[in-house]
Amino acid sequence: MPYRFSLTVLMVASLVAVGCGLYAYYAPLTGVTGVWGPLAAAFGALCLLIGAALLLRAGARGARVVLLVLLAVGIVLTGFAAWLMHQWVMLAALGICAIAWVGALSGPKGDPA
Amino acid sequence: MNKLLRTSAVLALLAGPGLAQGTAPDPQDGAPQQDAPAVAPQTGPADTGAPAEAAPETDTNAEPQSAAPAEPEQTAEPQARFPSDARVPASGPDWPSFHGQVSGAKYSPLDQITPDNVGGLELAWRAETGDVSDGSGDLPATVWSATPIYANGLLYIGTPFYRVIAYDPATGDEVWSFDTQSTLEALTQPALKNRGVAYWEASEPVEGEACQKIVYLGTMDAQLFAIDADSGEPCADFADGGVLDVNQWNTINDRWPLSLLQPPTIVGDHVIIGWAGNDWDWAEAPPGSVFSVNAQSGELEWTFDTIPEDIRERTGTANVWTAMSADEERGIVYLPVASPSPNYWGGNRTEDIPYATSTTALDVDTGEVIWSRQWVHHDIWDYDINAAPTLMDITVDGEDIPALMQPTKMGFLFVVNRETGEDIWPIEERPVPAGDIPGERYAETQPFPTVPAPLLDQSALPDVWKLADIASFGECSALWEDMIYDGMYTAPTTEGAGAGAYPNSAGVVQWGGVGFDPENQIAVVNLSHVVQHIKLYERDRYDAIQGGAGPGESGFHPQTGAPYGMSLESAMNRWGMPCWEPPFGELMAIDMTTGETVWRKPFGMSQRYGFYMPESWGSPTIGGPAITAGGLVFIGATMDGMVRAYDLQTGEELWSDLTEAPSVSNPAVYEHEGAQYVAFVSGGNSILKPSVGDMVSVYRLPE
Repeated sequence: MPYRFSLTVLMVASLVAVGCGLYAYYAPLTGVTGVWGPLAAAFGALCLLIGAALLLRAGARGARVVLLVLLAVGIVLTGFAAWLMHQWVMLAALGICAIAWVGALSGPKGDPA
Repeated sequence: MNKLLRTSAVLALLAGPGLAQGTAPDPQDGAPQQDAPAVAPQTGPADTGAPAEAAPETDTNAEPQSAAPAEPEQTAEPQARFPSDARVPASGPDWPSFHGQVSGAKYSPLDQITPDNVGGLELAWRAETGDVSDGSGDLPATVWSATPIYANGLLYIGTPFYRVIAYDPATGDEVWSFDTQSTLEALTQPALKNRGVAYWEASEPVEGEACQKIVYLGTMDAQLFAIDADSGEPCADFADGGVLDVNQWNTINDRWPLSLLQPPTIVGDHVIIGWAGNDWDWAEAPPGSVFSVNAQSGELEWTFDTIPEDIRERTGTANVWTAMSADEERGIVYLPVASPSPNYWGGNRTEDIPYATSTTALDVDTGEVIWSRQWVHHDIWDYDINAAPTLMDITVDGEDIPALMQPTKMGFLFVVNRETGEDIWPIEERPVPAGDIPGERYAETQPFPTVPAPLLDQSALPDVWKLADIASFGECSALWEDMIYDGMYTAPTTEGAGAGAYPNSAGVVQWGGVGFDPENQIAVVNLSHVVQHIKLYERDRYDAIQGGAGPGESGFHPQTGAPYGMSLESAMNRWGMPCWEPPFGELMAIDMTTGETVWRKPFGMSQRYGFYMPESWGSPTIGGPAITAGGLVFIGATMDGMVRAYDLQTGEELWSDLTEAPSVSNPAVYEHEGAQYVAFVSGGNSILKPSVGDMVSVYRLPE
């Protein structure tokens, strides 16, 4: 999977996860309406979105490695939260994030402009 | 009784962030108290049953004393007084009372919905009453534990804003509603509470006359409303224009009104009224009493007082705040009586109070005592009898027995002959430890049933939950070391972290009680595992700690009038995790011919901050089951807000659905126009978690 495409997918899936978290918080009958668990998960997904955007622009190899590690931790923790909250669409979106993260391991084809 | 929230903590675990580790004593959820009038009111009722002779004079200021248990009181000759073959009447296709039947069985003979097709159960309709508050605004939070009533072709529901709504049972369309305009103040409880309505209809109705069918709703401020079940209009001939002021009988220690939170129990033409109060803040409180009034006129027929007359002014409560049950064939009403006040110190009531923390059987026509069994002698643990006894006809060793099962907060299921109060299986008086509080009295023994086995092991605290202990760097094991525990009757103390309380006022079984299938003679009950600790503080120390803070804060309660204030807290770590090992709640079935367990399993999912815990941990439960002839158990009751159906024979979960908040009542099962429906109210209870609700969900099979 091309590096840039992988990060794009990661950002889109993160955005979906953010939406799922907000929906779970605000919508009735989600099982987690009005408690901070889904907000925390939405915040985690937002961090993934920001991390992927930064990674897209990161030039130094060290920075890319750090961001990839942080993204991995974020995907695991946010996914775990989604699982505990039985938010299956959110969990699926984070699964896509994980696949995209693997794609992003290939690194950029060349130095960023 | 009240003990309201005490429970809260518990569950805390699960409970949301709002759950303080301190716990309010289990508030009596129900009913107001009052004192029985010395002079017969209105119709000239006899003040019956008061155990004046059972209250020996006692020196209350002496050294700690030991007390021998009172003998079970029995009067008359019960065996000769009742037909020996009278059985619990068969249930019908309606659901006309809080527990479905006045026997407390929670059983429906309907069998359209079975284990084979329950998986296809779908939502027929859902309604939101609008009567809900989370406490963030001007109104107190709501706690709604109503069971819908199906009768007269309508579904009746009472709300915590003290309104009655009549719904079309098939569509959920509102047919009529009635607003009592009651004050929305939490006068005796920490929340606005309601457990629904009661229903009566004339055995020989007068055609064209109003109020031949009546719905009754009580309020926090002790007003009982009678409303025409057809029109929703007040019944003008009932008391004062359709409103009975029950607080007129609140004449001793009338610190607060006799809150009518539990709907009255209807037996024939008798409306039998208990009440809820507040027994953790005051030593002297309104003394327990139960009233019977005429269903159509509201005139007082009799009063039953639970506390001997000579000590009523220095103690109080021992009231009936939960549902009662009745054997209509024998003309007996069974009272589940709460503990006296204050909850955790009894130096003001060292005399015997035989009807406190008891099941007491009264003649429904006169209020005279037929028999009474005290389940906790000199109760200083707030072990209110908190659920209606379940009447059941069982066959034991080939003998058909008219039985009664009394579930308890202690996790005991006492089973006795409901005519005589005598044991079915032996109930033994066993020695229990004494405490060390000056002036207190300690019972030497307490009753222990041998069959069925206790719902949990009350002889030892559960093991420390290693996960919670590690997460808190050993806080849980330190607490376990600091608690004093010598079994469930460990006396409250000023030492260490206090007395371990397991079980405790939160209750192993709560007001949902026990369901019973008469065909298979199987009883079903949900239960909670919760560890708390109770500590007493000498008055000076309590005042210093509290700094004049009001009652109900941080789990501290003043017991004003007693030399000790107290704290009641759930045993949780700094993160709000329970310090005891799961499971936190279970559902089980018992074969009542042998008392043996048929199946038992963790029940529901605990939840905190929205995160569900594994099902194997279970959930603390409030609410209860309904059983059907189709072979199903329907129940809500868990923190996760789910409502579920289980196979009665195997305990397998067959169906579930998510609702707005925990359904902390019993479901109702009814047949309307040929179709079977199951109705749940999701009102929430801060004892489980902070979420509140106003939702009615009704299910049926696809047409």
